Amino acid sequence: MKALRHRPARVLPAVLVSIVMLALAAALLWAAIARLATGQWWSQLSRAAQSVEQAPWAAPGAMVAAAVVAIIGLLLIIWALAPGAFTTARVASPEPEDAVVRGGVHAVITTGGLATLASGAAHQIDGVSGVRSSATAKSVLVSLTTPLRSRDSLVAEVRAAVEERMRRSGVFPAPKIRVRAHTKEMS
Amino acid sequence: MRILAGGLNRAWLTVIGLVLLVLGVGWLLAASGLLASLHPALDQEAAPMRGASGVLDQPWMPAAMIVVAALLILAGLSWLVRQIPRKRQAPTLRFHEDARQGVTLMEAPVFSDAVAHDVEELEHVTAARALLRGSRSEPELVLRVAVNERADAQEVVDAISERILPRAVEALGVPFTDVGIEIVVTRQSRKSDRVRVQ
Repeated sequence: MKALRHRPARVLPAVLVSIVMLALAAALLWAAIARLATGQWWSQLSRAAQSVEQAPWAAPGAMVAAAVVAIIGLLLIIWALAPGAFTTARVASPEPEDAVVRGGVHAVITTGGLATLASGAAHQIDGVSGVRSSATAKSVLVSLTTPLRSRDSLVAEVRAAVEERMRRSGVFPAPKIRVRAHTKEMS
Repeated sequence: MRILAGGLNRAWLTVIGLVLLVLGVGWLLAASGLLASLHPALDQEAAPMRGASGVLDQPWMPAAMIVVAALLILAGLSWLVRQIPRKRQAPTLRFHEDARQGVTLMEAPVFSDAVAHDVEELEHVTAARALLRGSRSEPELVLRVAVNERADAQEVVDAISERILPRAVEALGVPFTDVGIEIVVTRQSRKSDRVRVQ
């Protein structure tokens, strides 16, 4: 059940690169068909071929193009090799009977779900006027606004509430909870 | 719940990235004169594209470009198609042992829809989807369960394990090989119901 807990599949760069490949293919095809139909290349293509003929390795335009190509290559390699964060966190699940499940029950919760749970827990605390949360599989960040000037006890209370919510939800390993509070006067 | 082509994407991005990086860095090294000692053509003042017009005027050039374009289209399209998430749903479930004595078949979605409906009856669950993979004798169940923010994920998982799965196994006749449950938390507090007024 590996597919449940996966890292980013890099769909966006794959789609972008394949669209660039298709665009390049269309341009090549169009140029070749135009050459076969009219007997001559596009004037822009002929002029470009003539102008690059005399250009040395160190031509400024060529060096800029080479640098751009190298940077794109490096970005693609980083995209491919960087593992990326898990999009789900594990949830404790009971050991099933063999007559029901021979392997195991694997449960996860989405990181978006963790953030929503954290916001929900924080919102129940008196003194909290607004909450926004974000989460990874390892940590949850709760940003709250409050009309209170003294925020330390509120931050501790919210942290305890969110930790309790994570514990009751069976999320493991327990994510690190960070709480930031900002005072905002109520109008 | 659905399967994406993560491995394929990472492999091709690495290959294409390496090719572009080697081309770009190679050109920059030649431009800086560092490769001049290897070959006179790599001297920084040499013109690497000399004869480009001549190559363009070769009679085989349009055909070569069409072949390269066809290969690019094949590769690009097949890569693009692989981005469509795959369900890998189980084929038609066969409940019979010997077809000569009768045949009992069930489409996998009939079973998975029934399981999803069962899960939706649990407290705090707002929506559920189920997917059966494998076969009738080696079934694997994947559930995507949306719960409201008052729910405890573990309670929902426990309820599925203790109440839903045994009933599903009873219907299927064999235990699951594996079960995956993905919990999604939503702010929606009610299941969507339709009321028709006539």
